[in-house]
Amino acid sequence: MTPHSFPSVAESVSFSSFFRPIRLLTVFATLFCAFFTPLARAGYRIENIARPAELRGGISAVGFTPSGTLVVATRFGEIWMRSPAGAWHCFARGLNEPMGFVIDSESTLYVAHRPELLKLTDTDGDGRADTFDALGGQWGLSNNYHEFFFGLRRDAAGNFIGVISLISSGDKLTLSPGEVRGTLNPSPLLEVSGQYSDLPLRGWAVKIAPDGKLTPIASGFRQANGIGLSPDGELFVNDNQGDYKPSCGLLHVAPGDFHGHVASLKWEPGFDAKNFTTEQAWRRYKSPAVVFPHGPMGISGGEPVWDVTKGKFGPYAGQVFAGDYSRLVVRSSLQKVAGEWQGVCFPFLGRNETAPYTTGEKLLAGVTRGVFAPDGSLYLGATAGWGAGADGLQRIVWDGEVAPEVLDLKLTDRGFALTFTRPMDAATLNQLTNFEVNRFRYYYQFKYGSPWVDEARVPVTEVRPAADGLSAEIILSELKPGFVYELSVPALRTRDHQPLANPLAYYTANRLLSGEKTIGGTTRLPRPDEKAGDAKADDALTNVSAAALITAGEKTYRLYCVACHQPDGRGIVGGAANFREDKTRLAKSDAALLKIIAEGNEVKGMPAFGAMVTGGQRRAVLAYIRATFGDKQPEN
Amino acid sequence: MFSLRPSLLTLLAQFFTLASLHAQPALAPGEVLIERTVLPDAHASSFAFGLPGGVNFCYDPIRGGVNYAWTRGFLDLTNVRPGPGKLIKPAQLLGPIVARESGLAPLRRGDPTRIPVIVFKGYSLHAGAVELRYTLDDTLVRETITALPDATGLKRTFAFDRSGTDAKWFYVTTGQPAATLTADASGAFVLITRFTAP
Repeated sequence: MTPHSFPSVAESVSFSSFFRPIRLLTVFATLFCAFFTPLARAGYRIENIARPAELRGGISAVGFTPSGTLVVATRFGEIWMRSPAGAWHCFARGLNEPMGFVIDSESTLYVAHRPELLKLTDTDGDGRADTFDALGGQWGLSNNYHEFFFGLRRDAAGNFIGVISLISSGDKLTLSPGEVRGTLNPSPLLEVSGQYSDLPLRGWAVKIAPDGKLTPIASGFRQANGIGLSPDGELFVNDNQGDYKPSCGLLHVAPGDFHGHVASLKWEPGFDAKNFTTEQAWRRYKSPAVVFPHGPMGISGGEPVWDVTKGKFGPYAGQVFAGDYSRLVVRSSLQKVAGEWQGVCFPFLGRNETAPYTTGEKLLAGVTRGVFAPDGSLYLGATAGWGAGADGLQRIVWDGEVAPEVLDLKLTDRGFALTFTRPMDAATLNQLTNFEVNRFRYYYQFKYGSPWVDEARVPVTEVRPAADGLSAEIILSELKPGFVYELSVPALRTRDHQPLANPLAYYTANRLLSGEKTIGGTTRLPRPDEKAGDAKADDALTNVSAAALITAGEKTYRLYCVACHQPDGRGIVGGAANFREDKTRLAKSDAALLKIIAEGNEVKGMPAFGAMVTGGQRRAVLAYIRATFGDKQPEN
Repeated sequence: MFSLRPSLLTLLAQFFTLASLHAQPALAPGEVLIERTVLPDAHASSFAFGLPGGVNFCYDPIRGGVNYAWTRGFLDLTNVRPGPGKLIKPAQLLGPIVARESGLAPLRRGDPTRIPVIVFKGYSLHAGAVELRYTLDDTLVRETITALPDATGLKRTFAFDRSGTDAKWFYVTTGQPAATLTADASGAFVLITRFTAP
């Protein structure tokens, strides 16, 4: 076992059992408001975009030409265009899982697909690409099902930016030198984890010049299924939760960065693999600028896009939107603190779609691509590719109604400054108990994901509301860097007594305004004696009543299960189990189901939660699922 | 009112999805079918091209050659499409293999025993033809492939940039003596691959 040291500034904070019931009550109240309160209006309409019958595969890229033609790519390797008048035509076929593009015009675009960056040109003006020029493509390549080239963005200098994914152990196949592109290096680095980099530049962000010259710029990526450039040209990547990745989130990428997954480091010039330790990796780790906590803020994040619509999409100008595979769109706002980006995220759509929060269609599972259209609506592309979700194309249209929301949340020197989209009721805004703040962080570990660790409630000692009801500052009893702060405000009301459409927010405090920061951002190394999950929480679940077990299980369900199995237990069509309609799912024994929760079910895409939740939490969540969605009571 | 259970809907959706994987898109006259995917006996991201007349071939951009050709139907892509699961298998050829080629980089310059470095540069689609572009060491090669009349073989025409026009060119495959490529009257280097009976 590698020896670890712990910086004093990031010391552990134990979670008082006194506060746990209060916390749970608040979480329940929050969720109740989020899912069932029928008063608030979101003001967004979800529309399905009809696709031509010949279009094959889920949508893996979506964009517009400068003249307003919609362009989509599909997982089956096609590029389709829809003119502003609504006519579709196929521009190209035969690409290898395109994941993004940069569009110059109706006749020229650049596509990131598995083997290279490809320039597509229609030279004869017949609406079909006929010339395909390969750029870049010096990375390793095999037939592993999970090798992607994510992208694509172009910087101000004309260079293309993409991220080469790691290789997954999911297909259980062994790579052999005669079958791959590039030099095979199968030596593991540190512990063997679920994804690896046995071929050159797997796990690296790269820059490709217009002449095809490739330059690696940053390492440590796993499956960066979303790349975005801010209006100022800053590069942000939404990497996906898994080994060495406690949660999804926006990584701010600068040259030389290491973003956590150690496998990619074997391709770093001069890297000393022999003497490398997990602690060294953690000390280099640049954690997300904005953590999207796994569960409440999704499971597999997608492409971040900036609202540059100048008000056509509502009051969120300059904020960032990213679809998630779990029927969710996350909204995020960035803040530069002591020279580095960090910020906050909110649920936006998908967790609150009980009418009339949104109107129109149901948000698709699998929405991981997005772009703002010339008319200010947000187009979302969905793919069912990873064993669940749905293929499709949707757009989100603002109907002019400003929903009551926390507009933004900024770190101050003693707490947080909140702004609201609508004036808030002074009585609710003045009440300290209406603001619940908790904090937590994650393990940095080779295992899949991480539980929340070092959870603690942070008392709010003062609220300073503005007279116009549009903002308030909350003062915390203590503010520490290196934690994700959860703000829950379900009891706040607008002046016309509306609750907030989404009363949850998560702020990533890598740094304080003073510049104080921790090593490893919002992570720490697990201590050698720590087991997965919160040991104290596990002890608290021993010899408790069935009701208490179910109550505890609801919290675990909301944190880890709800994104796939959904609040109503009906799951995602084609993927996560529908507990209500498919009675076979819960007909299995407790032992069998607990084994699935701990170890996962690879064929059906169920992740293993053994490293994230304790045995007690697994029993509790099963009790909750049986009690809430099943016909049968838990076994003893 | 008639209703379907979600599981049945899912099955129906999967059925139509899988059915669509067998169907080929409607083609314009002379249009070349193309898929870039997991193919049997080929490196990752190899090409399957379908020329008019039911002549199909696998071009392997890492090996730098035509691995094999087959006739009749094109491809069944069911195994390689995202959705069925993680354990993907190569696509199935919907016809018999009628020609094979093996060994690295079959096109050689100057010395037929020296394996050159192949870097794939792209391709173009024309009516009934495919042009593949790659560098062989430092020479840019344009290889145009068409079907012979009556689907009896492939015609491969090589053109080189200035650095390659005055060189000696060979075609080398495993188990066969090196063949010298010579320019025809128009200056083109042509290689004919005749199909054998399946």
